[in-house]
Amino acid sequence: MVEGPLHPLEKKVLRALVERPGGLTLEELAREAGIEIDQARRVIEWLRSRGLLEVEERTRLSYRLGDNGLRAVEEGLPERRLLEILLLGGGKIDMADLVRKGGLSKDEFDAGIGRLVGSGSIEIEGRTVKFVKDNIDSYRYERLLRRIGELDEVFEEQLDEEERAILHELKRRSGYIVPMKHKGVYVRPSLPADELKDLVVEEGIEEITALTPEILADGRWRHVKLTGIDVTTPVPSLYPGREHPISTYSRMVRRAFLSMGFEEVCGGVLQTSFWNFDVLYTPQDHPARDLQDTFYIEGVSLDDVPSDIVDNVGHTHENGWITGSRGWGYEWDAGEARRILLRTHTTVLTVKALHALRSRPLVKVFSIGRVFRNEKADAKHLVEFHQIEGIVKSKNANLRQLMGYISEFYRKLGFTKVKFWPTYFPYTEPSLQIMVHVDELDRWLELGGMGIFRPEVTIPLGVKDPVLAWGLGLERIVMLALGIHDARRLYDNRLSWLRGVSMCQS
Amino acid sequence: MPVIEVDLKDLAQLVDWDSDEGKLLEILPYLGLDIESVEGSTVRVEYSPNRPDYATLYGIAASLDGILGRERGALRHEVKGSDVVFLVGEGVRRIRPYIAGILATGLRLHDVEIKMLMRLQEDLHEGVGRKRRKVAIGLHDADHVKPPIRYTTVDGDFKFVPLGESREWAVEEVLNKHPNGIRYGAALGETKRYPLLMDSERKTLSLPPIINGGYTMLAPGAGRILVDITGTSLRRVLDAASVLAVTLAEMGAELHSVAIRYADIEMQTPDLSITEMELDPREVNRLLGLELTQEEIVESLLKARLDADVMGTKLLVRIPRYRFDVMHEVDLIEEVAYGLGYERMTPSYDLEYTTGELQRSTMFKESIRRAVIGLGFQEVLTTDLTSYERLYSSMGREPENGTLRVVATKSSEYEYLRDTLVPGLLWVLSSNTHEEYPHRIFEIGTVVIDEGAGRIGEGERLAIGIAHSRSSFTEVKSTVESLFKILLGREPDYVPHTTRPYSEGRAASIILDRRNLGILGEIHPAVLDGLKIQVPVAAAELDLDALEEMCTTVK
Repeated sequence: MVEGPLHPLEKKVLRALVERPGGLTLEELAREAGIEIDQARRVIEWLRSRGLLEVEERTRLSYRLGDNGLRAVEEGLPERRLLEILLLGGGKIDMADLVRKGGLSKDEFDAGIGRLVGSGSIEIEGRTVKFVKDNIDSYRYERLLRRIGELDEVFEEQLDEEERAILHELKRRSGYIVPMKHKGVYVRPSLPADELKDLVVEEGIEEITALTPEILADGRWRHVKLTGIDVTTPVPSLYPGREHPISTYSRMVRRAFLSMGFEEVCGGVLQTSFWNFDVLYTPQDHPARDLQDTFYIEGVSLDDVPSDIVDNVGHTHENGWITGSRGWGYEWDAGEARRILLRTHTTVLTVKALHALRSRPLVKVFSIGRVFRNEKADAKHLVEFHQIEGIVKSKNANLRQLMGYISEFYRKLGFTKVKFWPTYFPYTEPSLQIMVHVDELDRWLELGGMGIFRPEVTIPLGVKDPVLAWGLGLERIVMLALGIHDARRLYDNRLSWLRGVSMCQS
Repeated sequence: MPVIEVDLKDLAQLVDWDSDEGKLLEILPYLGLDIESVEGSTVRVEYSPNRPDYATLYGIAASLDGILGRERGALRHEVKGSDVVFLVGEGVRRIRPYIAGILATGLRLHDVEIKMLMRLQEDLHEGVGRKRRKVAIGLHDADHVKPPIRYTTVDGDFKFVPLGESREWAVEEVLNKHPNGIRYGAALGETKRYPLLMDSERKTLSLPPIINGGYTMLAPGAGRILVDITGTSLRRVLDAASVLAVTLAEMGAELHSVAIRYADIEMQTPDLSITEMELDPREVNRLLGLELTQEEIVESLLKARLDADVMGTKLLVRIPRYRFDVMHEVDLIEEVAYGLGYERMTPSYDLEYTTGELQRSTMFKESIRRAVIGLGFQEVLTTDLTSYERLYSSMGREPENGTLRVVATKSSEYEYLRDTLVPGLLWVLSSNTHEEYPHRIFEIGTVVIDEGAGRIGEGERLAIGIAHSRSSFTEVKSTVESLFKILLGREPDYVPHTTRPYSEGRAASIILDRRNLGILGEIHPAVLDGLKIQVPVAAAELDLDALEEMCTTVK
């Protein structure tokens, strides 16, 4: 259709018209194409004769942004702004607050509220505005406003059908759109835009904003230029699948135990008093066994009080049996031992393993599990939390070796400075508390307890060798690592926290 | 753990400490005392419940003297005789049979010391006394008491002036209306007769374990103290008496015995006898991992305020009565460590080699967690114990096989053991409605299974919840299906099944090899409405125990 190659000036003029199917005045064309008016006149004549241009006299409509439109480009439409303030306020806000925070003119405010009510996005009860549902479709409006803003002025022909409908809506709102009429001689292409484009394409000249499969497939990518991107522009957030921090740190603890050759043991949260308390030489009138401290469940039973050891345990409480102890000196009640409770410590699991594995000369086991205390939850106390527990049975086991296991284990958890202070636990002797130095706080903190099981615990189970034991709370470690001061935070499942907690906080 | 306030200046004076008092704060932890807080020279110290002698400054000072090397060996106190007699009547035998007494003279009590004694009394009531049930103590000004004293029983209408009151109260009235009666009345158990101590002029010393009489009140300036210790366990009564006697003696009192006369037998209290126990030095070194000589062990025991001598290859240790926490050789070994000083013990890295191993169920749950996270889900953790509202009523559920409920919870938020995980997830979604959608969450956790006939089991479950404006049965089914493909490489069958909190006709059981592996579906709008969730929610719950079994057999 086009005879002979196009002159570079012709290409310049046509390129200027590619994006302006509605045409340009002579002056506009010269400016856009970057050539002199006289040159433009000449080139227009050349192109007319090739049948690529038409020249006509007519009136055109264009639009620019009014003050409200400019503001909406910066800050969003009033209804969007009001809705965001409402959501930030938790979905409920006093009207006066909304007026104040909105910072809108009265007309704009009223119009915004009107649209929110009309679309069913909010409800107004008295002075309170309540969020119902995001029903406003402001994004398409804002997108168009932005486009007009970027172009400074837009001609009707540049808009597609949907955009025109939106423009029509916007024109009905005062101060958003300023229409302008242009009368004069217009030059416009007589070919559709894409055909015109093909004529003027030059390597590296056409700019596109994104690659498409089509551009890759037809090879056009070789001839176009990808526009530069403002790399500082904010982007939408992603919320990938993540695990709970408790799971992360459980795994870290398991890895520490595994690397030291410990075997994991598990077990039920429902246990008999026998295993949870009696085996651990906790006298039946001990305050820890009160309803005040421990959760019991009535009307159920567990077949879990082995007959081969029940008498050993009972006699040990009463008079020490053959353990070498004086015993507690009271009448032990086997019925009390059969009561069902929610385990108060994971020692119940390790001591069961100790019994099950009593014929093995060397036993190193650990467990991590939930435990339960009948308490009022507060920043420092939880009703349910996780305990970490490790034991070592060996004929060579001794207190300094326990200190060695602990130093090594805590080093793996990130605590390099450890010291030991004596304390008391009913089922270990000697008993020590583990103090770790937290460099960030420049303080020694108590982080766990340890000791050697009393013979009153081990001998009734058929275990003669010393058994080293230690335990600590998992939540404390997580709180220290993540800098959390309220333990309840770990279980309130706030998605904003779970989505935002950083992996490398420790 | 019990806590006392200690004035560091007083403590320093008691142990002749002439350098910086603050340095004592570094030593106290090595006595097993935890520093809770320090304000000026006042320190709040937490001590172990097995050492009630630490309830006063004097007990702490005695141990501190030991590890500082200023005093060695056991505390020794002479108990002189007296003519004070407690006559025990027949009636107390079934209610509160045991009693001991102490007469302490030569004191001039200041307010501070009276407070200290009351602090010790309270500690003994709580710990050794198990909230006064097993032991209760009365402190009296001996000058206001005319022996002999009768320990007898009275009826509910017996009247006396209780401590701190200005008129006579009947015993019944004390039990029903006086704060002490309301608090400790239950410690007496079921009885129509009540134990009472009265002197020869029928003045009431005390109504144990509730309250003392007013006549014998201990006031500043008192020089002679009579103590009564009553209880339901003779061993505990004598335990408490020994701690009181030693503390009074350390305060500077001269101790006198009180005769306890039953119908057929008489005994002298307090009992400050010595118990002998053998200690094998090899056991000490074996358990502590040290190589101490016999002499070093003896020296450490002396520093721990016990007496010890070498006796052939063994040691003979003499333990004063108030150290009733020593009940086994291992307790003496701990005393050696105290005397030696834990700060001087170093870790041994001579650790024994074994191979580590995880439970199969742990590894399976890790695989599940990885798979579900890979499908874009956020893990949450809710509690095993929950409320009736959360577990049942808000879900439109009825407990099928009865509920599992804990006794006497302090908070109804933690009362019912969950039998399914989905309600917990729906409550998590409910508390996050202002967070950006979509919400895709999961939990791996334990549920209880009521197996009927009083038998209970536990099971591991996975639950997922999907909430956003277009969530649907299709999406949750796709999720479950891809999970099955990841785990087993197979697709399960779905059989329509409706139960709350799911919608009728929009939920299904998940079946594979004729096993029911779980349930999935859309949540009923009434449930969502109740939880104020304004987007549709689809959920699923899978039986991980069954899945683990199937996974194992696939290989």
